Amino acid sequence: MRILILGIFCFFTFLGNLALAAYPEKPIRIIVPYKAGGGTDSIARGFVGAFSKAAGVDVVITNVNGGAGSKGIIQVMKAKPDGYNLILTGSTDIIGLSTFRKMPFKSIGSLTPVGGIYTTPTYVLAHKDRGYKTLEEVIEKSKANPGKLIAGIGGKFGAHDVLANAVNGYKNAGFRIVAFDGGAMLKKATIANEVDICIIHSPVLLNEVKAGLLNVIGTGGSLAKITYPPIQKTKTLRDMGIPADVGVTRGVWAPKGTPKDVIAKLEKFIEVATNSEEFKKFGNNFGFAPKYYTSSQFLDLLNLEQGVYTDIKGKFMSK
Amino acid sequence: MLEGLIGGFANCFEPFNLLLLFLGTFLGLLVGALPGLSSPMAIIILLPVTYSLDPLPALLTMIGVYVGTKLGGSFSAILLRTPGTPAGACTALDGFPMAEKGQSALALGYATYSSFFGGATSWIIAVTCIPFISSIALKSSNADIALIAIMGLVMVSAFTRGSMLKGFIGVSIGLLIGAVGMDRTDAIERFTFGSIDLLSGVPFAAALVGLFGFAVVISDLSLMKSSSQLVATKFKIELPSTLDFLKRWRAWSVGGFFGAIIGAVPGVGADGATWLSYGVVKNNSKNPDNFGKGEPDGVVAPETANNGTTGGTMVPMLTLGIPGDASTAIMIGALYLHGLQPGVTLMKTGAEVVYGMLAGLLLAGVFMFVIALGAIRFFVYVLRQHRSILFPFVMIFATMGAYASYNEFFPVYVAIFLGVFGFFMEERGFPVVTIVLGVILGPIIEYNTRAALQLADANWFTFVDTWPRLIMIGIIVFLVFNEIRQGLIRQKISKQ
Repeated sequence: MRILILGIFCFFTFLGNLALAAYPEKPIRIIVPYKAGGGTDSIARGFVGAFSKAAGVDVVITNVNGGAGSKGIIQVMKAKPDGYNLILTGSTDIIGLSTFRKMPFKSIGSLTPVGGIYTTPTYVLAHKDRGYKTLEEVIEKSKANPGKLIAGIGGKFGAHDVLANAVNGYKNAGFRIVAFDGGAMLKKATIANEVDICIIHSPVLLNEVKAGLLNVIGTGGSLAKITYPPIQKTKTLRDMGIPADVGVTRGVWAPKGTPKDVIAKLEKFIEVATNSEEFKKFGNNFGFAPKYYTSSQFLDLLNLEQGVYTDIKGKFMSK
Repeated sequence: MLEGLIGGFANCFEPFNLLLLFLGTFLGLLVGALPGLSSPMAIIILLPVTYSLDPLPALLTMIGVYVGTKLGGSFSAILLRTPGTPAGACTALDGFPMAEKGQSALALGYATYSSFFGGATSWIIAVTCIPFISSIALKSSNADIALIAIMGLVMVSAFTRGSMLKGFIGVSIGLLIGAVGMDRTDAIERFTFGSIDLLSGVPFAAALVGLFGFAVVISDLSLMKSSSQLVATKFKIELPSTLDFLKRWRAWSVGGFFGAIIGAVPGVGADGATWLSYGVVKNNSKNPDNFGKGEPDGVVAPETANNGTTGGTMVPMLTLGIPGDASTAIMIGALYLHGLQPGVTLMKTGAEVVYGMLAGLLLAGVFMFVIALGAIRFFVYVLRQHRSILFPFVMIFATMGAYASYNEFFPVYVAIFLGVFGFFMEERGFPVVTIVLGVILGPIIEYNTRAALQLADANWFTFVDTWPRLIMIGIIVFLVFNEIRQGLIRQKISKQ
């Protein structure tokens, strides 16, 4: 009897291994938790071509928008952990929601981070007509006129908001933080010179920076990987005495419980896709340099980001 | 500029490019005519197919779809009162009653002429006034957008004659539905009752499909056995003549103007332009009481404005990288995917593609006109099918439209609920259009009013500190007082 049970066990283990060995054998679905046409969606679509080639199967993007991105996250969380349901989004989209709102998922632990495809800091821009060259200069002006100068952000409870509150909190800058309804509206307000400073993920609006319409006056982290040398040495928040690194890492997550073998294969696909000429060309055109992060490196980045959010929330955003 | 445009036309006339533009327009008309399906959905499905193409042919295909769906959406609005877009909802106000009177071909004809004319007018305005259109997009601040939306809402009074109270209740319900979800300024949850599904509010596509499409099916169920046609008992194919269309110059000139100018305002353009032009034409009509009962001008004005927005939205997208609506937002993503850099530099770095797209916009309008006129017979034939055949298809497509908006079932449940709700409201004489308008414009008004006040440091004078804003406030005040005055006059007459 024992031999029979052992035999059955071995048989199913063999079948299981066979199934894993065959992975992937059908199209992989990548959820983008925002509507088509946004920044995350554009980047995902720039990535899937190379990812599909690396995986050798079709990769389909499904936009599950709603609930400020939470619906897509929850859908992947509940999906079968078989490697065929993934999510591609920004770290801030998950960490921001779970730090500042009561959500049925945690920043870390509810999903398995598979790999990062690039990380960019959140930077601070100002219209050229404002004449600002550095963030410190604007901070001083704002301190002298508390509540008068406007810091435009793309939405509440994300990297933009954290950076704005870090500047206000650590420097007592007194910016009036105005949350726009997404990056597109903030872009428009910035080009139209409606805000004093614009806090947005690099390299958004890089073309306008290149055209001389906007100045980069500060950044939440090094801009060395942004494909425009004149701004690569911009002063970071840390250089200004603000101990906060703020940015976004775009990457791929799988449902918790996805087999390790599948994760290992996915890691390989993501690495190949991230380092492909196709994605590099897309990134260069978009304004960023793709960089692959293994699942453990990706997890480290997420932990760091979570730490910053918790810190800033506790110090300056808990009211 | 002219040289670039000539080059753009020359590129478009390459046989392959022309073919793709034609196919895109055809597909757009087809997709738009399916209840609940929209231009962004079609473009996003096409996107991977265009990866292997050069940038211009890829984008021409998308422009074809974009232009085609504008008119296609009105076909389903006219024939089945199941619009896929807010703009289509406006066309349904008079288009559907025309179809009910057996004038479906005439209504579709007016819509086709209007779309072509609106597109062409807006194209001329957009191409000849690129800096002006770009500056409208750039300088329209939150305060302007809020006022445009409020003007649209005030026009609601135009639909509520008979019972101001019912109209007011309808708008209030719409505003209440629009208030559900995480608010766009402070991210505070409102009326979500802890539901994650409601965090982003009541799905907009579901509200349209439910309040219009499902409600119509439910209200007509009782007629299932009694009639073999959905809407018409007598029937003949009758198309409007060009002369007849030209005689309606007030309606199409207002629509074309609003389309090109207000279409350029990001976030409100396409939706606001149709309702505003409808309201303006109605309020200046000699027979305002005919509106809502099958008045051709009620189709011409919103339809001209609807396609008129294509020029208005395309110019800011190409010159500033600012999308005017969901479709142009996807096209911006497509530009990146094809190695171009949308934004203020695109006119220099990708001039060939920009001018090609502008030329394609006009040509797509021509294709749309030719295909649509030829297809009217087919659509009318479909409409003449027995309810027992037609209704299941309407329900299937409407359900698909609701599902596709979020890629899950929640919007379908919402659509069914609102369908039943809309049916009972209409039964009791509440015009559902007022609810829809509240759902559409409520969030726009709220967000932009709050953002405007935040930007102005809570100074309400921000709403009167430019000439355009003063004019808009003046129009709003005039419309409100005019409506009250007319209400009082009607009351006086009825007492006598």
